Parts: sequence; C-alpha cells; structure tokens
Amino acid sequence: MKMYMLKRILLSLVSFFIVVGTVMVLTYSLIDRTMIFQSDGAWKKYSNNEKTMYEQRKYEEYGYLTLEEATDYLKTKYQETDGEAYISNAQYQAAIAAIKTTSREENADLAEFKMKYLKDGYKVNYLPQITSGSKLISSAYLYATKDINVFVRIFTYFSKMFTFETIYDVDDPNLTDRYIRWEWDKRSNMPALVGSGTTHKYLIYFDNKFPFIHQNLFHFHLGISNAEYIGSDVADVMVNSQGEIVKTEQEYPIDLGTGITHKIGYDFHTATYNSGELTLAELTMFNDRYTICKTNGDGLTMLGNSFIMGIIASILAYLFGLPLGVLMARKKDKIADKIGNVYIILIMALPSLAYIFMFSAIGTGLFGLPYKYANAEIKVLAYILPILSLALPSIGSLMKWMRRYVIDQQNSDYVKFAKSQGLSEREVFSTHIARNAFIYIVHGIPGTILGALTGAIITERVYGISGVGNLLTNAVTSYDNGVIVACTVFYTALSIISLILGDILLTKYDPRISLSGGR
Amino acid sequence: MKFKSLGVMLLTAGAVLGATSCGGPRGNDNPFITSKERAEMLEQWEAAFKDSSKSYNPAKYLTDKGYTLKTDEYRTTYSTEIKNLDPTQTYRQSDSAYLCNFIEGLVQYDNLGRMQPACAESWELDSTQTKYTFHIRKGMKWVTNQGAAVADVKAGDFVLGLKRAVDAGYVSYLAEGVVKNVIEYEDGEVEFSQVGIKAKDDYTLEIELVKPESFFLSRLTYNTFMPVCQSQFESKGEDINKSTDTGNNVYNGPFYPTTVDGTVKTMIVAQRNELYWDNEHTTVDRLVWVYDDGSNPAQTYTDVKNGIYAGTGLAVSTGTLGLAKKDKLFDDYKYVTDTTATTYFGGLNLNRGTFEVGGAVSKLTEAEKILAHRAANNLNFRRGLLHCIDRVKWNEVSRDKEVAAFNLRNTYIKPDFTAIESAVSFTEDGKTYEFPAKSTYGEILQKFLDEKEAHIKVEDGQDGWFDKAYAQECFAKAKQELGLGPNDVIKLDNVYYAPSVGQTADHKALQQLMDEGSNGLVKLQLIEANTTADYYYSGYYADSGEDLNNDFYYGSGWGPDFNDGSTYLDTFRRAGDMLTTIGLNKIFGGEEAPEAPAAGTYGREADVDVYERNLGTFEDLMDVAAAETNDSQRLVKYAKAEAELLDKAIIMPNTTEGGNYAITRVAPRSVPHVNWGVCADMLKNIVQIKASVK
Repeated sequence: MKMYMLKRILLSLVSFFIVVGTVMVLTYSLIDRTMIFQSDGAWKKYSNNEKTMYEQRKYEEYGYLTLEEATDYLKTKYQETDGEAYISNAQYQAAIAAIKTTSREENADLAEFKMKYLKDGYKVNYLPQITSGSKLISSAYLYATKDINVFVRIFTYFSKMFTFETIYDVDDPNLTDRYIRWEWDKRSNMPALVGSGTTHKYLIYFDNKFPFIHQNLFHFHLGISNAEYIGSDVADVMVNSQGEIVKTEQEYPIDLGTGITHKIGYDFHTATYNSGELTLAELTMFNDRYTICKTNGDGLTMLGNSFIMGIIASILAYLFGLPLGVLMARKKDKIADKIGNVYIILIMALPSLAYIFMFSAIGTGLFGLPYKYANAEIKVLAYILPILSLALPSIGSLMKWMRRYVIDQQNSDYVKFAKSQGLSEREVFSTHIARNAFIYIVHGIPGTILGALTGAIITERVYGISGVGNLLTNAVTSYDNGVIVACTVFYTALSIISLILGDILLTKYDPRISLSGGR
Repeated sequence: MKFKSLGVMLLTAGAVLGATSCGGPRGNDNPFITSKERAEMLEQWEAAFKDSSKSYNPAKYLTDKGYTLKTDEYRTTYSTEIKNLDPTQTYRQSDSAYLCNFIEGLVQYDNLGRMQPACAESWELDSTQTKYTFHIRKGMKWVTNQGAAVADVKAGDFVLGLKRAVDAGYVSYLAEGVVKNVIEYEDGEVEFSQVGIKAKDDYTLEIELVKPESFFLSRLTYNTFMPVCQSQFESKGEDINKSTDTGNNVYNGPFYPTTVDGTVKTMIVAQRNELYWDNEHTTVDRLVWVYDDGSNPAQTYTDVKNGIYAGTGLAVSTGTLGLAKKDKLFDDYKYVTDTTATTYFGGLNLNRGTFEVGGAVSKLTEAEKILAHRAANNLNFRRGLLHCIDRVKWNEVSRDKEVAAFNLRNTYIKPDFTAIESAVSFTEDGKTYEFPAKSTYGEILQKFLDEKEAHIKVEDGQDGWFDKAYAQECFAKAKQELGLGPNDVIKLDNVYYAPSVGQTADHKALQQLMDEGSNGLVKLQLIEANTTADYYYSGYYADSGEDLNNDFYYGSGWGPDFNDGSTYLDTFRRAGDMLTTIGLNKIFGGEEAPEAPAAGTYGREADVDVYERNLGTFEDLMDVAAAETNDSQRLVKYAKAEAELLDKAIIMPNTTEGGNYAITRVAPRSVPHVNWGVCADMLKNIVQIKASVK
C-alpha cells in the first residue's frame, strides 16, 4: 500500500509537470503574442520606435521574454560608482549620446552591453533615431531580448511557488530588533506567533473568521496576473476579502487592553511592514511600523463563494439524487420512473443558460427572490437561486447513475440467491444492493468536494456572485498568461488529489479492493 | 425599490396609492423622463451653451414639473471591473470611468463644456507662453476607502503623478514633446528633477512646456496629469495600483470606493466623500455599479422598470425594444443616446505594396493591380466610390433597422467636438468668412464643404455622403480619365475574417452595395482570411502602409486626446499615424524611391509622390492651421483643412459609438459635456428622478 501510494504520488507529480509544461508551451510559444494588443488602447496611440519598445516591455510583463535596455544598463552601471550623481558623469552622458548615432559601435560601454548580452544568448537590437529635418520624430533605442526557455520557465515557476517569511524580509537598516516569538495577543485573547523583520507581523494567530486559525509563515504563489488583476498573485486573488467594507468596534493596536474602541474596517491581524514615513493617522493607531492592514469586506472570498455554492449544491444533489435514483430503480418502468427519466433527459439536454433563466424567472417572479447579488437586500437570499441552479443538473446526473447501478445489482446472481434464501426486499436492498451500488458513488465524492472549488462559470456570471469559475475563461479572452497558467496548476492539482483520495476512499469503503493489486 | 416578496409588494403599492390619493399636490408619476421633457431640457442647454448669460438648471426644471429627485444613490450596470487604482497607470476608459469619480486633477469640465477649477483654484501663464503656475487649493484631503483623511493634497502629488505616468508609459504620449524634458528623461539624459513640472512649494505647481500651446490645459483632464499621494506611495509603493484591495490607494475626489475588491464581477460601491472641497454640490450619496454580463437583457429591463437601475438601452436584438413597446413606454420616453468622439472610417489603398498575407492571397492580375492603383489615385473615382455606398443599408446588417442611421458619422472630427469662443471673420481669395462666437466645429466645416460643393452633410445620425447622382457624375469622368470602356470593371481586394458570421455578412453587404451603387463598375473581391493572424496582419497590425493587404480597408478608428483639431487631423500628415490605413508609409524625408517596375507589371510608387498628389493641398492647409496661435482662428483653419481632406475623398468616415434607443431617469447634460479626457464619466452632479413604480 505504501509502495503503491509512493509510486502513485510520483507519477502524479510527473503528469502534473507535463500538463503545466504543455500549457506553458501553448500559451507562450504557440499562440501569436501580438494578440495581446488587440484591445490595447495605448498601443494604438504609439508609433515608430516607441511602439516597438512598448511592445517589448509588454512582452516582458506578460512573461514572454526578458528585456534589457541599454539606458537601464548604463544607469545601473554608473550608479554603482557615482551613486545618485551618475547623471553628471561624462562617460555616462557620452554613452547615452552615442546610442543616437552610428558611433555607438565605438563606444566602450555600449560595446560592453552588446558583448555581455550576446554571450548570454540574447538578441541585440537597435532602432535608429527618426528625424524629419531638425524635428525629432522618434528616439533611438538599443536593447537586448531573450525568449524564456520553457524548461527555465517551468523551473522558475515551481521554485517560486512556496515562499517562507524570515526575519530578514524587511529591507530597512533602521530595524535592528528582529525576532520571531510567541506573545499573548490581547485582541483575540489567545497566543500568537509574532515577528519583527518579517513581512507580516502576525505569523500565526487566531480570530473569529473562518478557518479561525491563520498563518503567514509560508505563502503559496500561483503566478502573477498580467491583464485581469494586474500585479496580484492569483492565489491572493482567490482568497481576497470581497464586498463592502464592514466597520466594527475595535481597539487600535496602540490602545490594546484599554477598552477604547473606534469604528474601523481594518483587520489589524494582517499588518505588514511600512518602510515609508508614518502619517499622523498611523501614529495615532499603531505603536510600531507594522501599519499596512487589509480591510474586512462583508462578502465571502472568491474561493469561499464557489466552495459554499458548490458544496451545498452537491449536498442537495446527493440528498435528492440518490434516493430518487433508487426510487426510480425500484419502481422501474412505472410512473415514478417515467417522470424521473423525463426530468433527467430535460435537464441534460437543455443548455444551462436556458434552465437557469427559466428557473430564475420563476424564482424572482413567484417567490420574490433576489436575482443579482448586488441588488439583494438580504445577501443570503441571493445564494438560493444560484445553488438551486447548480444542483438541478447534478441531481439529474446522480439519479441516472444511481438508478443504473441499482438496476445492475438487482439483476445479479447474488441478489437472486439472497431472495431465494428468503431475505425481504428491504433487507436485500439495504444490506446488499445499496452498499454495492454505492461503491461507484464513493469514488466520486472527493472529486465533488474539491470540484466545488473550481466554481461554476455561467451561474456565477449570471447572478453576479464573484467566484473562481470565471478566472480561466476571462483570462483566455484577455490573453492573461499568468492567470491561465495559475488556473491550470490549480485545477490540475485538484483533479490529481481528488483521484488519489477517491481511490483511497474506495479501498476504505470496500475491503475487496486493494490498491497494491497483489493477493 | 427592492421588494422581498409579492405580499410586501402588494402592501407597499397599496400604501403608495393610499398616500397619493390623500389630498395635497399630485406628484409627477411618469416612470421615466419623457422624450418631450428631454427635448425641452436640451433646448435650454443649447441656449445656455451659446449664451453664457443664460443658465441651465435641470434640477429646477424637473422639480417644477412635479418630479421628486433621487439623491440617495445612482445605480447602474457595468461589465468591466477596475483593473488599476492609479489613473496614471491606465489608458482604459473602463478604469477612468470609475477613477474620475475618486481622483480629481488640476482642472475639470462642467456640463456646459466649460473648464472649471478643480484641485487648482487658479492659474497663470507667463509672458513666454510656456510656463503655467497653478495654485493648489488648500485643505483638500486624501481619504482612504474608509473615508478617513490621511494626508493633504499637495503640489508634489502632481509631480509624482506625472513621473509615474511617464515611467509606466501607458499614457505618457500626452506629455512627450509637450512638457519640457520628458523625452530627454525617458532617454536617460536627465533626471526627473529636470523635467518641466516642479512643486515650488506645497501649494504652487509650475509646468513648463517645450513650446507655447494654446490648448495645453485641455490635456490636464486626462490620466497623464492626475495626482498620486506621496505619502501613500512611500508606504505602499507599486501596490497602490493593485485594484484587488481599494485600501491600497487614497482618494481626493467627490467619492471614494467602499467595496474592498475592485476586481470582482459583483458590484462596485462608492460613498460620498464628506471631506471633498465641493461636497455641498455633490447631488448623490452613493454610487453603485452592478455587474451585468448582458446575458439576460429581459431581467435587466425588468429591474430598470422596477426602479433598481436608472436607465437602460433598448435594442431589437436583445428584445428590450419589443418589451418597451409592449409596456407602452417606448413612444413617450424613448430618446437616442449621444454619439462619441471616436470615428471609424475606411478608405482606398493609395499605394499598395502587399498582396499576400498568410492564406489571404490576392487573385488580381498585374493589369488589374495597375488599374486598381490608377483608380485609387484618380480623384473622380474616389469621389464616385465613397459617395455611392448606401451606408444606412450597410449598417442595417450589423445594427437593428430602427437605429441603423443613428451612429453614422460623416466627418473625421465629431461635428460638435467643440465651438469657437470668439467670433472669427477673415477674407481669403476675395471671399469673406464670418463665424459668430460659439459656432460649433460642424457648422464651420459645413460652410467650407458647401463652398466646395462636396455633397457632404456633416451632422451625425444620417448618411451625409450617399448621393447616387453625384457618384455617377464622378464615375463618368473617372472612366474617361482612366480610358475605360463601358463594360470594364475595377476590381478591389478586401480581406475579411471568414469564420465570423457577422463579419462575413458585413463585408458581403459592402460588396453588393458597391456593385449596385457603381452600376457594376466596382467589383469588390472578398479575400478570405481563415485565421485571426491573417486577418489582423492584412489590416490592423500592418506595420506600415506598404504592408496593408487590402485595396479598400475599413474599421480603423481614432479618438481625440485634447481640445485641438490637430488631435484628429495630424494622423494624416506626412508622418501621421493613420497613413497606414490608406497604404502610405510615413514620410520623414530622404526616403529612396522604389525601383520602377518592369513593363506591364505593377510596382509601388514613391510614397512622397503619392502623398503630394492626393494630400499635398491638405498638408499645406495643415501648415497654415498649425501656425495659428489664436484658438478660434485655429479651429476654423483646421475645419478648412478637413474640408479639403473629405472633398478629396481620402477617407470615408463611417460610424461612431452610441446612437441607440434608450429610456432613462437621468436628466440630459447633467454630467460634464466634453469630448476628450476623462470628465465625461464624472457623476457628482448627476440629476435623476425617483422611480415611480406602478
């Protein structure tokens, strides 16, 4: 069993890397990269060399290549020797001027730039200045580019996936007292692991928000978005607080223990280090430099929304689908079975948008349920229609499969034997048929639970509830490479884990099944 | 109003009926603003626009008519979320539509299109006409997304804003070559402290220009010149732009966002900023944008009727027009939405250099290529072609029939782009031109076009070019000049994206209309592009004019950035950005002429020759206009140049955005009325009536 699990996990990791690698190749090499400018209004306004440079910089942002410009190279080089006075260095100015003319070949600094990057496998390009008479139309540029190799890309991606916080995170020479230690947190009246010099102040803490214990010791990175959530990591986007800001009576960190409260929307446990000058407002609230805090929203996170809706819909599906499927099997070819079949066929054949609208028309018209989350006075009610919309097809699917499995079992030899032995219908069913039919269902349970995390694309969009479902679809249309890769990683990991868990659950449920395959 | 159940709805309706039947003056219970009332308000607006002694007060007009004004919130739908919190980092109108309500610049426009002080309470221009000094209003605050003040707005915030705009590069083009040393800073020659924007002290800002520019102030209403709070940037760095947490940035405008995450596809909410300097004139307490992907227009329409949203567009294709007619709302309350300043146009390729891009391959013979080139360069042929297309019929393919004409445009510069401040009168070639103050650009342009007998009507919302008789006249002359017989045809290539049903229909319609309109003379050859790459590289992505793989190309668009004719017309000067769309490379001088082709084969001419032949007179008029320093005179001269451009049939302006049916509770022109910058989306002075739900 252990050997099997080890092999299984290893193979899973290999397939994981293959999938991610394939998506990276597809996204970065096989799709025409110029498509990212299709709806770029700034690109349209640029022309000549500035347009080319804008394109190169965008390509770098989107992760296609690394770009090195001669002007940046010169700036860094002379800053090392001259500090901030680099701009008045004669050699620096000479090199800058040489970029514009043909004498750039002779300039030592520019030749150095060219040699260095050619050696590292870059392509060095030059865009000559464009003038019309004495008027400057477009500046000259000297730059080097290198497409990122797919193996390098995969390696960098996975090496950056997990990061840990250390007491050296904060780059402030004035911070001398650096530590990580347990302290008593007066805000939550529980112990907390607190750091100084780490990015976050509270590394392990408790509060009254799910999952009640939180950590900032290590972080998970799925990749940075280029177009949809510019600059933010997809993992953060998924668990980001949403909704309108909720202000609660809280004590400022500086007032902890005094009982003086203010109505404020910050979550003081999320404090990160502020290396800038502290404002008056911050000085009245905080007693250290950890003053940048997140705010609390009244909604669930993206992951939360998708998960809640998915889980409740799944529970409803199992609650209704399984018994109804059994009912249909037992009343095979009778009225109940016929009605059930009609429902299954209808729900499978109708496009989801059609029955979502039909259903919501009934829900909003007859029962006055809210349609869009944003227009709902009582926000909880806004989840009813989406959950029911999600549950309907799952109920149909489970009904169909349960009915099939039960019928199969009903026709098998051991059932006929048990009946001949005198067991009642009910006993045969509950002790034997149900348990055997259930084997097939059990395998899918982890998948369903984890699948709730993937979100529902159409339902979320139609009802305006923000979940993870649309992350991938929106990323594809906006060529957001970072999100495409991040979602692929996320979904692949979920699939692999659900399959493994499903198999393990199966062995626990049915002792006849053994993973190692031996006798 | 949001009703929790049928029962509550009935109860409330009963209460309302009861209340209104109990004596007292009867309030106006129209569900929307009527078309008549709207027209009356627009008349009053026109009067105030032309005569500054008159005023326009939509709030008073509506309350006099018995309406109750809605001041608690303005709720509407959105489909694109906030992607950037720092306006200097974005060019997207979808971002600016929110940010212009949260962050305010030096100046702004009001609902009569007049520039008003904003963060700058006054300003002066020095004697060299290149240095502006702005006096920043004291006591303005930056607030967080919880409404708490964190810092004062200072002159240094504008310096930081421009630096961030230039460093990021998305909107820096508005300052390059305009503000002193911006280009030199980008090239690494100078530090930013040498750039022509300085904070003399906390409340005095100086901006120095490269050369005098009479319309410079109009640039200030765009993202390039928006402020960034210095202390916020010090503590948060680049994070201030991350819209996943609105707490990352701070705001100095009339509203601040109160939803935590601006990127969600759920809702975006903003609250009145009590600390805003002009808060007493803000007419609404809350702004709510609700995500709507447009998949259920019937539900959205019902929500509008029930008073949830302030208004909605009506279209046949979504079924909402039919619903409005059924509900008897269409006739009394409909209006046509404003058109925008963006112009989409088409034109002939004057100097074709490419006949094959991927799978999009031309089938023209050499003789046909030569003929197409000669025809494109023949003035009468161009005139004939551009005046023979029935654009209303063409537009019906992609738009509902009822509104097919509403978004047609006939000029490059939007007719009501701007108006002259002072009267202009001058004499030229024995003719005297007189334009009273506040004449709109369109009125001036029409005069010049009529003088040339160009057969063009300038107003939006009609086909001002289609004139079959005039087209036939021109074709007859062209045929003679080109030496064509009665049965000869001229073949022109046009690449279309075949997998798109809509595009195929659109291009096929054009082909048919050209054939009909030219009585069979012009045969448009539709070239299939089966990949998006082939389609785009044949047109939109063509690097330069010679890469344009079309004989007739349409679909390019251009929008204005500031208050001057050059913002549109410069695109067709010798080094203009839109020359690619008519097949010409940019001309900088000193280009080598291409080799003469072998006898009987087609070869490209020198761009400078083609330009001179077709646009030479236009360029001369542009020189005259560019040299003019008086704003009003300048606009008139640009109008003269555009008249030349259109009369020479260089481009065929085609469509614009907007021009749809809609019903609304929002008073017309209660928000800023301006065609450039971000102010048009500001909502602080919006006037809307309360919904009366029957």
